[in-house]
Amino acid sequence: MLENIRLSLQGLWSHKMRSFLTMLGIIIGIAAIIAIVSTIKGTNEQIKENLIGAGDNTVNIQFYQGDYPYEIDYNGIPDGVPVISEETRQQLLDLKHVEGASLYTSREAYNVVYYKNTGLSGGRIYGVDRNYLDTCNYIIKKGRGFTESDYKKFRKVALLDESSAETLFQGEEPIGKTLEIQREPFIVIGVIAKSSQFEPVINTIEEYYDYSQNNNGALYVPDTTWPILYSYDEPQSAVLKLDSVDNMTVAGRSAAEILNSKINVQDDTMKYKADDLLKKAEDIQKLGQSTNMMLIWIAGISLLVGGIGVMNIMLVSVTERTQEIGLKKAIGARKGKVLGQFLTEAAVLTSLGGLVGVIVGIVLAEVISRVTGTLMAISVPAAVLAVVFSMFIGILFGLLPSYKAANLNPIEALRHE
Amino acid sequence: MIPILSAEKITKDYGKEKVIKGITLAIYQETFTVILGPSGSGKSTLLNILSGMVKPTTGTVKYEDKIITALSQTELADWKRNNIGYVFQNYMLLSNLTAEENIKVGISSKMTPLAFDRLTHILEIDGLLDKFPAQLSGGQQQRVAIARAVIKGTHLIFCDEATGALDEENSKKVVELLHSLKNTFGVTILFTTHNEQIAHTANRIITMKDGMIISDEENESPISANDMIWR
Ligand SMILES: Nc1ncnc2c1ncn2[C@@H]1O[C@H](COP(=O)(O)OP(=O)(O)OP(=O)(O)O)[C@@H](O)[C@H]1O
Ligand SMILES: [Mg+2]
Repeated sequence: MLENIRLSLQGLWSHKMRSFLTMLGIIIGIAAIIAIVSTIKGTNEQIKENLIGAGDNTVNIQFYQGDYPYEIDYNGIPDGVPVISEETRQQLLDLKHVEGASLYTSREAYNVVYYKNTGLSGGRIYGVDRNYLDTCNYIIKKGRGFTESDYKKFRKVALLDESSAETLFQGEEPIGKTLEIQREPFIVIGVIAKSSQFEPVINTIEEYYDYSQNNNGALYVPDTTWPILYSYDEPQSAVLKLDSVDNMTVAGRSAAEILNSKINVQDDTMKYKADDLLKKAEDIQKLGQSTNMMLIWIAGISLLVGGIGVMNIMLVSVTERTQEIGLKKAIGARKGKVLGQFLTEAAVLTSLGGLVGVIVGIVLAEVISRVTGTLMAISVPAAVLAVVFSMFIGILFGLLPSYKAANLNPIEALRHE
Repeated sequence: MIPILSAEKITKDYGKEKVIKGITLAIYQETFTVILGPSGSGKSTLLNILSGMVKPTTGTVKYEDKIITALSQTELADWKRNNIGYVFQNYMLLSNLTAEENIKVGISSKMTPLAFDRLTHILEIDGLLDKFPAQLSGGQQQRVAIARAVIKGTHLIFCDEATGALDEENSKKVVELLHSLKNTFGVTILFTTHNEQIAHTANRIITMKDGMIISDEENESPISANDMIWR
């Protein structure tokens, strides 16, 4: 077998130009497929990353009415939806893959928050429990965070994120300043930010709608002060911190189930839902899939043409080497051996083409990625499969010529000039 | 003495043409037999039938006590590989292999080939081993081809017009070498030719005409290859 491969390589080398031209069809086909697959994989990973954010393993579970989060601002506190207890939070925390669980209430901050004459329009205000900053991977940028006594003593203190700090204070030092929230004075004690900053890569308007997080500023107060602002304790949303992005879907679902088991509402479109970013990513990925399939079909046709080229050249090779085959058969080479030699040659030819194709494809994907700015990711299984597939093409299209060679009559073959 | 090769009532038809018309003969070990006859008399066809290259229309061929005309394709290939060597008029060397590689092309791992150095020395090609066929003269190529046929250590060598493309000097040399290989390694040689001078060097001369053997005689006093008188 090794001897056969060595002989094949030698044979291919002695007809460099011809071998290369024969391989070209395979090279182009495989290169196209690898380039497409790498670009698709890169795009898909980009989509996932854009949605989920690098390294942010949190999942939100909010109360929905139909397809949209329930807005207490407009609809009031829903009947039959209790405030989530500490006991329930513990239940969420006990779920598999869950490393942290926090509860929060939230409303729009429009016409609610002011510093002097500047309002925070479009932002949100959050009433958060003691675990919130930790669960959501926030770090204190300036000042301090909430303390136990802030919660116990119902202190009217607030944290800002960087965007709301900028909007409200426009460069002025915010710490220690007094804000007006729902006409109540709150003192700013700190500015917080996500521990890992992540900017989604946005190339098109569609992508902007898909990925841009509502980043008009957020303001946080201890959840114990919520009734000072809005008179009542309200049903909360939950946020979970998970051990891995891949477990978002399953953990989010179980958590929503637990929360839904506590509610009792008439309208059955009203329930807790986890925002399943993984599924959303898949949905966006699917949009591009039909185009991709078409490209792969086109590349497949190129492979077919390449295969026929291989068959043609192998037939030429059989004719050209009729004497050699005749001699080998005359001195006692078995049919199977001749068959094996020609099949090996065809397989070596196409595998080599496949290998070169993979390399060209990767380079091509890299170039596309540089030019268009999209991500590309090399798929090792796809590369291996491509080479194996090229080999298979060689064997398939080499069969007919090899069979022809193996069945040559030695005497007639020897007479061939 | 049992024959190494025997043919029993063989015929060969190509369509309506009867090329071999019933031949029975036996070849004995360590002999040099020449098959003589005019062009078209069926020499090559007979040789091809005896060597298993062509199946006779009727009749059987036996190698020692094995009926080779009854073998399957694979068995026949194995038999050829292990038991016979072939020398062709036009050498049939593989152009992309060196002389040495050409000589060794028929050796399989299960064989115990003859001593390579000794053989190439006898054939006077030991200095040409790394050359390609295109770099060799006809005589040199034919000697490489003979080495390829003999190296396997088989007992039976078929030569079809082995000197047909060579000049006088080279022909003499080839015939002489074949005789000395017969004596050194104990091989049996079957040699077709229409050159009567070569026939005179043989132990036995079989003459063919129109697909039949018209005479088959022992040569009591073979001449040496060097004494051949070329026309
Ligand atoms: N494959 C074949 N198909 C048809 N006819 C054939 C075939 N091989 C040989 N013949 C015929 O058989 C006859 C004998 O041919 P063969 O080659 O045995 O002659 P030969 O004695 O070796 O002649 P030469 O001295 O010219 O080599 C010829 O008439 C030839 O045309
Ligand atoms: Mg002939």
